[in-house]
Amino acid sequence: MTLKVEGDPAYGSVSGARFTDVEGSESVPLLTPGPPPPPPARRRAWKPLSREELERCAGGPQWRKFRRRLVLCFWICWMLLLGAAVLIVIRSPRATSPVLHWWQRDLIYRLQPMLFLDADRQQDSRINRVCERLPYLKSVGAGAVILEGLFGNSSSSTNLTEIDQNLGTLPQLTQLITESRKAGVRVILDLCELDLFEQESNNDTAVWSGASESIQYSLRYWLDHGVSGFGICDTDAAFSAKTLMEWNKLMQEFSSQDDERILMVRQTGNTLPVLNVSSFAGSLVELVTKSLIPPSHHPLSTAEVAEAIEVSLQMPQRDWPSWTVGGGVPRELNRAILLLIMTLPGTPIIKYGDELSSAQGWNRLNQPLALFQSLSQSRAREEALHFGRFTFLSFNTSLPSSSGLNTTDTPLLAYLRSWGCVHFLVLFNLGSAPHTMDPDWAPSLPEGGVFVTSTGLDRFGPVSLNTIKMQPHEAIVIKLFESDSSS
Amino acid sequence: MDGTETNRRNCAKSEQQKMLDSRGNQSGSKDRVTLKKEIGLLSACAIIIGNIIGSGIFISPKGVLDHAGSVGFSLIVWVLGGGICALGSLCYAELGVTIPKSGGDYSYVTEIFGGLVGFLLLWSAVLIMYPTTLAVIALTFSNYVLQPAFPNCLPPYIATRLLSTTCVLFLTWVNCSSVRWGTRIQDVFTVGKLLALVLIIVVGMVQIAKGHYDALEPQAAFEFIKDPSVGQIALAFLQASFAYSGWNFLNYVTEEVVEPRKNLPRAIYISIPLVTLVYTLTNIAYFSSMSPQELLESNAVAVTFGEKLLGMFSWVMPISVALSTFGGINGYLFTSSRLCFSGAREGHLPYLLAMIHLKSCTPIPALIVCCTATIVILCIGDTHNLINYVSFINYLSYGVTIAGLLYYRWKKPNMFRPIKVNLLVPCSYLVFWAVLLGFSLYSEPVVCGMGLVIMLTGVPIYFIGVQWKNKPQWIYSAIERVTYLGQKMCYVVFPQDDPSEIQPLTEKSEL
Repeated sequence: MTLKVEGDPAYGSVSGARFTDVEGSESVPLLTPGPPPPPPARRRAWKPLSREELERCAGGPQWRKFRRRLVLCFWICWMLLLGAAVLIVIRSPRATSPVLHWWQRDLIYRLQPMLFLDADRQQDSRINRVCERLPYLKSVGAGAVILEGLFGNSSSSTNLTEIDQNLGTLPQLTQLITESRKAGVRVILDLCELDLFEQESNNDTAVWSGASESIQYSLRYWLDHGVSGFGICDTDAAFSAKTLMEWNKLMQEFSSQDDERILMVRQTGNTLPVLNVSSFAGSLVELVTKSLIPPSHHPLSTAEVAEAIEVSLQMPQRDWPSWTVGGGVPRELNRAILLLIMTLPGTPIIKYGDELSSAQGWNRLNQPLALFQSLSQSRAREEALHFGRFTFLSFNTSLPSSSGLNTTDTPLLAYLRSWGCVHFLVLFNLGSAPHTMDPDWAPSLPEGGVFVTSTGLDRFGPVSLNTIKMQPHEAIVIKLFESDSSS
Repeated sequence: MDGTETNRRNCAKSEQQKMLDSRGNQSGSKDRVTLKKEIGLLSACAIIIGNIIGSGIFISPKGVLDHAGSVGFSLIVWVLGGGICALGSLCYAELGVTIPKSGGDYSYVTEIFGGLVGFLLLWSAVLIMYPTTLAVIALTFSNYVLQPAFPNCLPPYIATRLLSTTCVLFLTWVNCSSVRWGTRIQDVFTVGKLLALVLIIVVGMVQIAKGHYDALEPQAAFEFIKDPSVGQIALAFLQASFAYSGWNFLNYVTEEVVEPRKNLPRAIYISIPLVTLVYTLTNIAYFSSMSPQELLESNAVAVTFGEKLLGMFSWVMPISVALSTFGGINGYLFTSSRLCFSGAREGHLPYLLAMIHLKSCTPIPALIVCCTATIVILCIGDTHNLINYVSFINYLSYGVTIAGLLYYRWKKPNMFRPIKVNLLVPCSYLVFWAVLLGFSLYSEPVVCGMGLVIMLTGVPIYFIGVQWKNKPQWIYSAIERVTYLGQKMCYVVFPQDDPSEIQPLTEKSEL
């Protein structure tokens, strides 16, 4: 037996252990030696040092000094090990959570008060009906609501403080804004496609300047009443560097630390038009909302939807993107699209009613869908789903397939959301046939994970990535295990 | 256990032995009577509870839920696990008073089945089981200590290994320097982990009173997330048995219990239902605030529970678990050194391992060997399969020991038995044991087979080292020299001064 060099004999002042209490019967060895002992010349019986012998041999100052040095060596090694561990911990890189603005933390809803048709029968305004829906919006996790279609077609720069009379009265709208702030839901006014800058025939700059001042007066009016921001389209005349700079100053004037006012732009094309002053482009607009699916005149097929999504996802993104569905999708893909919106990086913008995914009537908006709640809770709980890194995964199996197969077999979509060591895998099967995963489709990923949610809400527990079989129109979220974790 | 009184009396005993050398037998008998009065009913309960409750309750709920498949059934597994634990404890109680030797099940198996079977248990325990258990608990300790610095990720690999090594080295030094310090550490950390469990249970009950018990409603509790099978149920029981392990540790101090015939069964009847209740309530508390999905996703159940409910006091949970594992390491070091002592005294291990320090009376060579083996396991690194192996061998040793009880009833029916349990108790335990062991072999054949292979490598070692009587002279000289050197370096001596004790014993040349 080799003794450890760092052996640590010590001089305890307190003695006593039950080893000294050996009963008489215990001292008799259980194994009786079978044969009689061999001749004495062949076998010399030895015995360990007794107490007196040990004190005489090893009790002297030289041995005592040697043992003390052994103890000192032990503690030096111990300190070195502890210091090395602390140093490794300190030098390890750690992912720190970024400080998020409110419009990065919350879900944003798009809502059109005009769609509240049942208000007519009860002699109540549509704006008041929206007001009654505030607790519902809060319960499903909405942090802000974009009111669309508030201003009629007759609105112009001179009467932006007047709203469509079919929706309600101006005091009702200001009351809605006040109640929203109490409920914790912010209000953003949508100004898309309003003819704010009237094109005079003489193109007089004085008229343009007057219109601009009038608009600013109106914006100031709404900001005074607590509106948290405004939204425009990238095709509007207001989408220019000059106008946005003026509006941005106005936003900053009314902003405070916990109450920022924002400007939103809805992007209608594939790319955002470049503003003239490129140095200010990043800070003029807080949110740019992209459509996953472009608007089209005919209903899209599942293959076209998949292609549009893949094109959207592979474009480079800004620092903080924002997503909305955009065009119409087949009804069977509603749940998968909802899961897609909720798991992409950035701020999801949900159209009111989308979370139900089977809207049969506006009168039945009582209970949110379990899928939406599951996604909302997962997003709030997991940092990776909230602001993690996005990695699109491509399937190698789609390369060898022929063009004939491509028209009938919709490929799978997959991407990763990562934050630190936490990874979430999101899988989509937008086709109409079940799809068994190729066992080698993800060689760089861990072996398994645990189901977080799925569009069918029927998958739970651990899962191996090699044995997943996806149902038609299904989407799955899996939290991947650490590569060296043991259950 | 009051270590101070034990130490003081042992010192007095040592003095008496010197002065009353002429009346050796009589003074020995008198000292034994004195030593028996140190552990009463309350102390016995504290020993059982303190050894059972450990890091398992913070780790195993995830595994139990995963294999049981539903909330309700996992709670049933926890309760039945306590029942199996009680059956085993009663069998060990009878063995403890029938064969009054220290060393636990190793001594019983050696006495009943002979040297080879005992040596195989000792070989697998000293070589793999205790070092692996120590390594796993040390890794759990370092993971929880580093958890605040790495909230979302696993800590760096090397940092956890280094921290585990420093923890094992530190506790080895504590146990080498003083028995009292080791005992005090055990007491302090037992209180720590009990407080953590009480906190979990109280907060969980508050949650249930507030109406948060969705996962505990009868129809929701028995919704299975996967179809149950006998194999999965067996694995769930194995996971629970990890949390219940330690119930056999009272046998290491059986002869020190006051009136063992009455107090030993009473201690078992009080302690194990209490532990079962605490464990079940802890799991109910977990489910009151976490859905089964959340519990399965969590790598640290208690930490997730703390983050959800304790708010600004969420740091209490990682610290409590770290303290609990720290105490667990200390307890295992204490126990494994005793096992080395028993093995060396029987001639199955080198003589040096039975020696204790001249002044502090601590088993320094045994502790050094155990510490070295643990560090080797930490360096090897693959603890996942070793955990399964430890559970398998642990369960195997329980069954063999309790089978020995039945064998003894048949071979020596008239032997004096202060405690005699009903025959149904060992038979029931062996039925459960056979089922669990069978399904372990079925579900993890490679791991269990590897465990058996490692155990069977002890057979040639036994015949070469122990049974081989006429070894060459140079082997004896080498053993003598190594033993002398170890004695001088560690300043250790065989516990008894009586010359008749120091008889030449057969030694094995390896290790």
